[in-house]
Amino acid sequence: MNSHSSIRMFLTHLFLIVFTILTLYPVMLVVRKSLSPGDNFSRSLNPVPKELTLKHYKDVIGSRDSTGRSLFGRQFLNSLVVSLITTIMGLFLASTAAYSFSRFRFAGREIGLTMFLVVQMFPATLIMIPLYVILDRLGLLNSMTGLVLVYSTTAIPFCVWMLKGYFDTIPKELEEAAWIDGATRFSMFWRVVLPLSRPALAVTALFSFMTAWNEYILAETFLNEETAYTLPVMLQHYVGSHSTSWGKFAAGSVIVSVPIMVLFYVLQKHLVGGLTAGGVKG
Amino acid sequence: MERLKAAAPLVGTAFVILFLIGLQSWLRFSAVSGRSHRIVMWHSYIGKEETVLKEIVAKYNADPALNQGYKIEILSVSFGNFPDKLTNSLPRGQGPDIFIYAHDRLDDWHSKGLLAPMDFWADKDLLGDLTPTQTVNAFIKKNRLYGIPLTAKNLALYYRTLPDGTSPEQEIRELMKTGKWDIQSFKKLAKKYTRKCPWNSSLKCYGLGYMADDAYHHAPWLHASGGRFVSESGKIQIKTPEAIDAAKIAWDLAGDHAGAVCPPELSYPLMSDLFNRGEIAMVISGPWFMSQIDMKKVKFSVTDLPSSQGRYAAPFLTIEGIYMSSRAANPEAAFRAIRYLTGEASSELRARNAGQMPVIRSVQNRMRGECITNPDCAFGKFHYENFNRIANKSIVMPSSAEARILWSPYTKALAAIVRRNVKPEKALAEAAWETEKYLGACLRRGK
Amino acid sequence: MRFTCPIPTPKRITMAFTLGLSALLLAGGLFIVMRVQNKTLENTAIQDGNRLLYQAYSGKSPQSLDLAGFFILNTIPGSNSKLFNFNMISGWDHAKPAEKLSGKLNTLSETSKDKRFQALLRKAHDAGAETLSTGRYYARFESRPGKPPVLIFSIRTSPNQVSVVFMPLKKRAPSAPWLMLFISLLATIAVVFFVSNRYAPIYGVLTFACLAGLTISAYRMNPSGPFYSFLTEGFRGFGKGYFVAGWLGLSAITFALAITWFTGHASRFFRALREFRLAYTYIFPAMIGMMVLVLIPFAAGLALGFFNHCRGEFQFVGFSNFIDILSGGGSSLTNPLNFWFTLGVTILWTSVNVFLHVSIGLGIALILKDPLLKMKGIYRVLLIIPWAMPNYITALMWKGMFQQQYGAINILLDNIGIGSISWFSSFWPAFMANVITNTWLGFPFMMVVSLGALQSIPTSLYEAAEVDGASKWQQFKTITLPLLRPALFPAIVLGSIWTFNMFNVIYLVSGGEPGGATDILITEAYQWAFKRGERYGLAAAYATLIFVILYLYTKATNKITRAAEDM
Repeated sequence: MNSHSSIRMFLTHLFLIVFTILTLYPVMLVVRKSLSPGDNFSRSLNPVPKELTLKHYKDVIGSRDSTGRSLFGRQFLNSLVVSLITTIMGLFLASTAAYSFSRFRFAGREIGLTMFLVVQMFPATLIMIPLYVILDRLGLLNSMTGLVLVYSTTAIPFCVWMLKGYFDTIPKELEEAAWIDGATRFSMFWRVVLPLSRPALAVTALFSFMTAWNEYILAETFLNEETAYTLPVMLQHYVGSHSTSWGKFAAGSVIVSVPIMVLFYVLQKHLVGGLTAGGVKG
Repeated sequence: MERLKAAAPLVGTAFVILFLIGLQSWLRFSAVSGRSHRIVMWHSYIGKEETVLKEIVAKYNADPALNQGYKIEILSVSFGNFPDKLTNSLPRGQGPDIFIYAHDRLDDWHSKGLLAPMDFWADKDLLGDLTPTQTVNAFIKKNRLYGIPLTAKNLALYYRTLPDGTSPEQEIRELMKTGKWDIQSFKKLAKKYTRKCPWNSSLKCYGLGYMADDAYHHAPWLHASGGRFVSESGKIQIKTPEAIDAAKIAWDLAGDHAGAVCPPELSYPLMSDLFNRGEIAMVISGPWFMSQIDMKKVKFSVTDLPSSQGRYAAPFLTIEGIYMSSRAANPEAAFRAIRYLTGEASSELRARNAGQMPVIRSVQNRMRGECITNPDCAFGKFHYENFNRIANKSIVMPSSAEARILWSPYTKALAAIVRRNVKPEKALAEAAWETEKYLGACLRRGK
Repeated sequence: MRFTCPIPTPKRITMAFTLGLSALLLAGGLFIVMRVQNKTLENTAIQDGNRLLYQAYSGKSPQSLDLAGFFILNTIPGSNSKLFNFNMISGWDHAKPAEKLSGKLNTLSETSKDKRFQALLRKAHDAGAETLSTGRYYARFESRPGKPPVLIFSIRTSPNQVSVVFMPLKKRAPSAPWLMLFISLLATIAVVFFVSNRYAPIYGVLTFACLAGLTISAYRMNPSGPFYSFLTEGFRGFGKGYFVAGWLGLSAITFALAITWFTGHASRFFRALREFRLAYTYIFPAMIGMMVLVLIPFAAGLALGFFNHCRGEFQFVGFSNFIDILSGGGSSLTNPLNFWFTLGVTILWTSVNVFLHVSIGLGIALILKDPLLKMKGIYRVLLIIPWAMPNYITALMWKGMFQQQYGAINILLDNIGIGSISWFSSFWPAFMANVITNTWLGFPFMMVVSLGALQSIPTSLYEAAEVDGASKWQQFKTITLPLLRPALFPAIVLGSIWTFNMFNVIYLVSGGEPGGATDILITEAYQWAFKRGERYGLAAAYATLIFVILYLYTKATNKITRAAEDM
């Protein structure tokens, strides 16, 4: 029995390792490009660069504007602030709405739910112009506030749907028990439902964060100062009219994806928390 | 208390919004207050061109005698998003005062009322010394001047000394001297260098590298066949006998057959890698290709494209210049900035450090003179002599809205011809039909 | 739950509508008055300009018109023939009107360094050149922040001579956005009315503060925006249509409300509002954001489908965009430009991708769930990298890997002995290249969602099944799948919507090759908007059709959800 399961474990690991390497191969090509000099795509298959250089990373991090202010630090900070606020706002707005959709059978629920789904179906490129006009009217152009509002509303529909799906799986008995103990609706939501939905909250948080973190078209359209740009916008600036600074582009991409991996690593333990920790059985 | 808690989401949102609005007004006020004494300039340059532009602007901003209190603020906008960002923001008063772009959007922006004419300031100092003469005319629309040229870019033929020491240089010189530098002999030459690489027989070497399925890079063949994308009267021409001849040249060079001298599905980064390794002997590309070449290892030169029956394979000439927005807050100050940025000092600096060919004759002469005593002169290093000579023979890229619609169907047709061996007649007929469809009611209603 | 809220009595409703309607009437009245006023203002200004020129030439006695400048310009013959160049014959500024037309025009030299004069001369030059190039008179208002606008009027007075007049309008802009404040007040009244007595003051104050704050900031921060221009430019501001649209919208809403009131829907609505006020409270924050930043642009996008765009102008064309698309626009069914062909490709694309995403994602999640497996965390982090890295660079990497001669995949295939494939020369390989790339990009998301969703299944169920001797596959079928459904289902629905609209992969990997055959609806819409002469209307019509298709799809899936909920 024991040897059988260890063989199985070995095979599982073998499969996972091969699968992971295959998955990471294109990523390794990006990393290779970011570490090798010049802007050409080497046509060799070896993912290990021949000549190592950190020049591209130095260039990306050391970018400056015409008055000599460092851009990378500011842009990184902008990205971080915008993405974090988007995540918090998105989670807050979405969890309340999802709770309502999951727990109440109210008039207009169906329409509301459909609406939250439907609005994502319209391609964003065509919504940009009216959105620009609205933000202009509200005086929210060229500001993080506007960007945060736009991002969180873009993320809300997804978050609402994901959270609603998860809330549905949480037994109502738990809330009923709290209700008997004299809890209010809000504390049921806050103390019972939310802690139990950590896995779903983690997924939605990751998603909202990434929505904001990787977006560049809206950010570039709405912002008018280089010090206000976010990181992905800067990344697009390595693509020129005739030639592209592939080295910097790749280095920038690697830098951009690191915080997401860090965030995911932090959120991981919540992904596997959830109901197993207690609840139903107790 | 409990009830208050129940309303918490609502109250919370209200506070968040109020806070954001507060923050926002504070930020916006600080942005607006400094606005009156600045000139906002947008550009989409990258690399050296951007660095040098920033240097020039820093110089302008540092000298009160030049800027008279109006400093330039640069915003770098990614090339892909530039036109959309501009057309979105300019009509709403959010755009730049001046901006750098190629001349090929002139018609579009002019018809949308985004550009301010600059002919009030146009004088001999500004326009008289520009070369080639097409550069000025590219920015003139309905007798008004909408842009001041910075530089001109066009395709040329690059060739290099291969790793085994051979080079097509001697042959090209010979052919040029005897006047036989035509497409036939060019193909023969490319064919000669398409073989197993002599230094590594497991690799295949090619004689030529160029983007065969791109209309811009196809233009020289069309012009050499006596055709035009847009006729003198502004009519689009797609399926003409000349265009079919040109498509045959492209297929000959790069089609999907054993005799092709150009590798399939080329992209710029791949092409420059192959050129640097010596697996491609000649490349058709513009001045921007030079920054991709490994100067330390590769000995290369630039020369004319071949001709066909006496017709030169003229590439397109793209002129980059500075436009002024019709909403510019202070046109006088904005023009002062433009005059400086396009002026002699700036032109020379850009030519020396950014590889931008000078389009002012006096700057050219001064830099050319240097080469008599200094073999490392910038004019020689960047091959300006050759580029300038080709530019004089080039055809200005059409800038009309109709012409811009043409590129996508034409490129599609070329891809079909080159990659899938579709008959040129059929592919071009398809492109003609598509273009007609895209033009739609907009063109038929007339201007 | 324990809220007390008075049902809005018919009396209060009547009161509200009276208030609302009277307010609208007031606004409408204001609108008409201002419109008429401004129109006459413009007309008289042009007439004045004409009269002035006539008087100047005929030598009649001048009227006391407040002028800022007057120029007569001559074209310079033979100078740079491509451009309009002018010689100033005469001009003035700074002088009092009476002196200006007293017969002696004080000619200034063209080299005058006076900045204000130079600016004026430039404007005269531009107006004159405009007159000469169009061949007719030219009139334009120039708005100045905080001051009444100036009329610039230019007319051709002889074959190569133009005269230009500058004349300030007498009307001043209002010093505060009264109209907007008024609308805020209306909104506040509405809010106060709908909220229970106890909280009414708080909500009222908050709403008013929000709206008024927004208004004032919008007004103060955007001196060139249309609202402001409506206030300063008068009639021309109206021409921009925001005010008109707002006014029409507001009255439409009022009328709709009035109708619902008569039919009795209103009272049912109020009852529902009271009954479920807690539910609505929870949704409200998300809803308000969605309304402003998602629904309005969405509505604008829908409306755009009925217009045709040509050189910056939009023209209403009814359903013709839709007819054009649905009829295939004159192309045969096998032509990639045909809507139905693209739709077929899109549906195939979506279903293949979603199937692969879910099966690979769920499979990996199940493997990673194994409690005995070590280093789970590392695998999980490494496997989300395709999702974490910006897809616009990884898609390009994949494109490079599919390159016919130097791409990694073809070299691999060559070495195995299969021989290289020309990926983008025919439909199926190109389609597969897109699918492979997108599966690579998309499975980590499904993996993460499945990992989260698997947590909602209590382990006790598996333990019980284990005791009953159920096999792994039986456990998966009877426990995992049914219990995963509520949490995984939304992800699948959303995943299919995203894949349906997955622009980057198609655009960057195959680019529609061969000949546009692998384009999906969204890339087609994009091309109509940006590559084919800015046909925004057609692109919006495409987008609307995408929306309709997806809407029908969710309607169908909704039925399944509902069935699942009822279980």
